[in-house]
Amino acid sequence: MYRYFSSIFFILLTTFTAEAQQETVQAQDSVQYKEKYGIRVGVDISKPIRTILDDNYSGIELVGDYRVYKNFYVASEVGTEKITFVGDNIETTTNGSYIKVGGDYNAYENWLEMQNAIFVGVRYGFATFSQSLDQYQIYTSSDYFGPDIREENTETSGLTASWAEIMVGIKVEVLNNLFLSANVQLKRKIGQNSPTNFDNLAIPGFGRTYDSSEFGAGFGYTISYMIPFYKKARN
Amino acid sequence: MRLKTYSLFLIIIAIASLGCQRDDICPATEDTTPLLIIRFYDINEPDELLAPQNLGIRAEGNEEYVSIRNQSDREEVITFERFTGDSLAIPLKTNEDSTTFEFILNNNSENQEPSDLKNTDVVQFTYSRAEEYINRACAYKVNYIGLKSNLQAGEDGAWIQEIQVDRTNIEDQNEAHVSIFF
Repeated sequence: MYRYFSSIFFILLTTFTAEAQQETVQAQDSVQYKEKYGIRVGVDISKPIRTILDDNYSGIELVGDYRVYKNFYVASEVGTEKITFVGDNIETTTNGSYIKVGGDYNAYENWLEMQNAIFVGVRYGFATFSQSLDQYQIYTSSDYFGPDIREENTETSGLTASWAEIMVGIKVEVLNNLFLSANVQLKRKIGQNSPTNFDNLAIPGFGRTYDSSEFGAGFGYTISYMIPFYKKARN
Repeated sequence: MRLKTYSLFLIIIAIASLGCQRDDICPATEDTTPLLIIRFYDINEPDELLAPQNLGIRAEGNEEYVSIRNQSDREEVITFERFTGDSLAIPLKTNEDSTTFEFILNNNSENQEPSDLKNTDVVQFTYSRAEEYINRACAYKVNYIGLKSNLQAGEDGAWIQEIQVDRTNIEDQNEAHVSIFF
């Protein structure tokens, strides 16, 4: 009989201790904040807007990043763009797709469970595209014979280009796991092959090029959603 | 708060980067389609430059006299109607493989009685053409290759004695391409 009681007492005791232990764990939770780790996917909304507003542009870009460690993320963008360049004497259309891979570093100290970011990122970009020379003029220093405008519409496909890019931006969590982000990008061409007796006037993902420099610039405005995989305590 | 200021800053940069895209004006210093540079020499002393008097030049079938833009000030147009000088530059057609000019010596104005000294010679230049990309602002130029000349005296006899092609490939305007002796 005594044995019986003692065992009940033991069971109760262990249950209580177990409960008490659980409480301590929960109490620790509210002190030691857990951060979400997961994959964030989204779309650049500036490109569809520009497609509507700008007759010489159409494009779309998907973005994604994955938090690998504390403030470090691997990040990538893929997209397609069609850019028409209209100059005083030349008109070309570039059409193709690109991928950018790299990483972001979040330099922003968040409060509690907030997931905002002020980030700097690096990317390697690669594009494959075609370029058509829609119209051009033979430039002369005499108007005597009138303008000589050619519309041969020659298209060169199989062009490629690569570039390095740094970007700075912000990400704001507007709803739970839903982010709005804005960034600006500075790019530098690494390599390209251009049509014979011509140049790449625009490169998908890179934007328009400049004759005198290897640099380019861009910006992005994205909306993205984070799918949390696990939580990890912040230390 | 810090995020808001930062985002405002980003938007300003984005707008600024969109705005500065029209820097695409072809500079006057750029080598574009070359003009044909002709120098005139004295037939009796072939080393001496000699200026034909009141020279008018027009392309065959064209009522107007040949005009070019001034190299240093492109708003200024030079017309070869009564030109007196020992060298000049004229354009060749970029869309055909030959250009024919009338070289009219002692070309006095239409109000005056036609001078007895007025003399028209017809010169045909033939060549092949090669297009060369310059840049996005100036687009393409044409280089003329294998220049040949052909002189026809016309009814009033020839004032030009000889045409000599010094440079058969016309790719720049650094030196004279053709010498005319009269």
